[in-house]
Parts: sequence; C-alpha cells; structure tokens
Amino acid sequence: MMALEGFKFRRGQSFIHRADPRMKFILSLAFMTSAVLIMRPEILLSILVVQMLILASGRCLRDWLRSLKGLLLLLALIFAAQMLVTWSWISAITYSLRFIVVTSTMSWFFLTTSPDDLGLSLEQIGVPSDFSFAFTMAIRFVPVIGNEFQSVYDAQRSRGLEMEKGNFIQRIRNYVPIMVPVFVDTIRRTYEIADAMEVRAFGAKPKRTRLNILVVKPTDWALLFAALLLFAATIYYQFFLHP
Amino acid sequence: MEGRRLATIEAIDVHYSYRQGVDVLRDISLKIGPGERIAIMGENGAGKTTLVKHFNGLLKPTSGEILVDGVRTRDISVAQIARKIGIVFQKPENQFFAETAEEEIAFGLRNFHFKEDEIARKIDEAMRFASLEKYKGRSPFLLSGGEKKRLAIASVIAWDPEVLMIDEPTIGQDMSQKNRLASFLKEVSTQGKTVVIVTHDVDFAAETCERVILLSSGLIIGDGRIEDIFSDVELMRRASLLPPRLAEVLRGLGLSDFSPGIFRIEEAEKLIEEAIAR
Repeated sequence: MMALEGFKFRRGQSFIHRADPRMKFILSLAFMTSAVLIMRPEILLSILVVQMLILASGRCLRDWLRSLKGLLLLLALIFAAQMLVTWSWISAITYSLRFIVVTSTMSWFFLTTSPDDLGLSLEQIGVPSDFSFAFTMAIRFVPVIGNEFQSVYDAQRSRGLEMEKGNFIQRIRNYVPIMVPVFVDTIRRTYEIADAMEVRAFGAKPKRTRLNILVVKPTDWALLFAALLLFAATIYYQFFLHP
Repeated sequence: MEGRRLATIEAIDVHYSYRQGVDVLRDISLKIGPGERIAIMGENGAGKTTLVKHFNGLLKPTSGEILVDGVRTRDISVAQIARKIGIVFQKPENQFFAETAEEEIAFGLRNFHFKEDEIARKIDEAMRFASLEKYKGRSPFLLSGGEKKRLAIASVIAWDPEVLMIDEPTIGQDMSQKNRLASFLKEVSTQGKTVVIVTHDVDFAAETCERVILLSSGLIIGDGRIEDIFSDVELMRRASLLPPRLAEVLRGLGLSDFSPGIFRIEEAEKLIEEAIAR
C-alpha cells in the first residue's frame, strides 16, 4: 500500500500543480521516452535529478520517497534479474535507474494532477464525457479500494491467516482470501455507483457543459516547448549521435 | 465445544495515533477478565473499533501496552492472539471468499492446524450454533444480511476462541435477528467465554451485557456495571447515547424510582407485575 502513496493526488499551489495537465502529460511522456530509449546510466541519472527538482518544486519529495520505499522489492527483483542475465553491474544499475525514472515521472504527474483535471483534459481533447468520467472515477476509487484491501487483510489475519508463511506457491495462494472479497466488493460497488448516478440523472443530456475549462497559459506553452526539446534531443542523441 | 480455558486482556496507558498529533486513543487502561460480557459504546469516531483492533494486535499502541494473558501484543503474531481472541468485524463481506459457507468456516480451522476430521465436526457444530445447517453448501455471498452476520460469527466461534469480540453485531439486523443474536451471545457466554461487543444499540447492550465501557474522543469516560452507567444521565449524554427504551417505559410508568437499574425484559416484567399487585 505504501507504493500507492506516491501516486495519490495531493492538493497544492505550486507551479507544477497549476500547470496544464495536458502539457504535463506530454512532458512526462518525453521523460519516459528518453528513459526507455537512452540506456546510459549518467543520462538516466541526470534525468532523475531533473525529476527530483520537479518533485521538490511541487513539495512532494517525501511522498515520492515513500513510494520508492514501497517499490524497493520490485526494484531489487529487477536488479537481480538483470544481474543474473547479463552479469554486468552497469546493465543492472541502468535497468534499475530506468525503472526509477519511469515510476518517478508517473509519481510527480499523478501527485500533482487532480483526477478532475485529468478528466477535463481528456474531455477537451475530444474524448466522450462518459469515458473521461469513467477514467476520473477509476482514479478516484484507488484509495477507496486500498482501504478496502486493508480491512479485508485485517479481517483475514484475525482469522489466523499468516501471509509470510509457506513456500512461494503457498505465499501467492495466501492472497486468494484477500483478493476475492476485494474484487467482489469492487464489482458490487460499481453497480451501486451506477445506480446512484442514474438516480441523479447522469447522462440525461448528451452534451455536458463545464463550469471550469482548461486554458493554456504562457508558462504551459513553455512546458510544451521543454517537452518537445527533450523529445528532439532524445531522438537526435539516440538515432543520429549514437546510431 | 471444548473445556474452557481463560484469557485475560489488559490495557496499560494505551495511546494510539494514526498520524503525528491526531490521537485516536488516549490513556486507555482497562482489564477484561474471563467470562465477562462487555459492551464498548460511544459516539461515531470515539475510537471503539480502533480499541478492538488493539486487542488482537492488528494495531499496536503508539505508547503503552496491551497484554493478553501477560504477553505483550507486540511480541506475538496476530494469528497467535487470534487463536484466543476471535474478532468479527462490521462487514461480513470483508471476509468471505470461499465457495461455500462450509469452506468459509473451515478457513480459520485450517489456519490453526486442526485435523481434518476435527474440522468437519467443528463446522457442523458452528453451523448448528448459528442455525445455518441448511446453507452448508451455499455461497456465502448468497446469504441474507442476517445470515451473513451469523456465518461470520460462526466462522470465528468455530475454532473456539476464549474471547469473542463482535463489532456492531446489530447493524442492519431486524428485531427477530437481534433477538436471535442476543440468545446466541448468551449461549456463548454460558460456555464461559468472554463476550465483547461494540455497539450503538443501548437496548441490545442492556439485553446482553453486564459491563459497559464508554468511550468519547478516544478517552474512557465510563467503565462499570451497565445498571450504573445507563442510569447516569450526564454520562450517557456525553457519550451521545439515549437510555434504553425499557428504562424510559419504566420511568413513564412511574416505576423507575423503585429500581433504577433495570433494563432487562424479565426484570421489568417482574417489577410491573409487582406494581399491579400493589
């Protein structure tokens, strides 16, 4: 659950919080593209430093660190697998760094972008409002399902379930008594929410109007420019400088 | 079920906060002896469920200690404590995962390494106890609200813990279910087990318990015999509770002066009969 903390939106007033979600999205795509294409530890490391600057400017370094701690096991797995396959420190470090850069990008994006803004930007690029609404709802319910998971986990531990017991297969099986109630509850909840929305006339008018709309500010154009620059630099570096 | 063993729970100066600065429990000290019937009551958010989660070690105190038979809950696993202290949580759906009611009950028994023949016997016992025999092969999700609650209780009582704790047993239950649950709890109690319920239902508490622990904003504001606590108007008001309806009826009849601590139907009947005879 700790890993999720680093991807949960928290209200804030920083520059990065207020930036247009569409531009932020393009910028994070640019970061991820370079992380995936360029396999050099020193470049990945410098991208990571830029990410940390962004996180710091949004005052969410601590949340990000917490999510990294939660992902430590996965990170160790990636490192070990790389080490086994290639038998090279450099490659193991590079792959781990790539993983960190990609998750960090998603981390600052989701930490500083409210689900409402995300839905709004989807709508404004022409996605039908039903879909953008479903998307917003999905994000909105992640923490709810997280809490649900905790309650079920508590209930099953109170019935003597010990998660850390048994061999590998047994440990995976230990998740069944937790995942089944969580899934069942989530599916039931979707029906309940659908009913609740319908009684409040959701979808009564095919065309919805919005109270708030996104307006692109000069600083947002600057963000877009930075993103395009990063794209261009990545492609130049990868395909022309070191083909 | 098997011969009785005893379990004592002790809380010493327990403090608990989810985050720095937000105290959910403060200065909690209490002792729960074997065979007691206790209701933990208080307004929403008073910390009742948080307190109960401390008793089997799901939560560990931020400071202070919880001792179960003298052992600190920090030092043993939840499963080890659960063997002695069975807790049934509010939402039965939160624990159902098996395909049949029978398998649902078997889950706890397997976790505690009962032998297969013993498991079969204990399932039957628990099913009978909860009057669910005919639903053995049915999916837990297809049971009614009351049946789900009883199955959840049965799935805990099956492994014969010394203490049975139930969070909000009466929520969403109709009158007949409540009465059934009350007699069920009394039967559990006659087996020498400790029963602890968390509830808002004053009438149900009066019917089933002999001791009340009142919580308000994480503090124990009252702990004593139900007769004394429920008669203390000021204390009840602080815990956002109304006195039991039976007490109101007796007061309406002008009988409350005769015996202020009467909240159980049989006693009230006797009192009214005596009054009529007079």
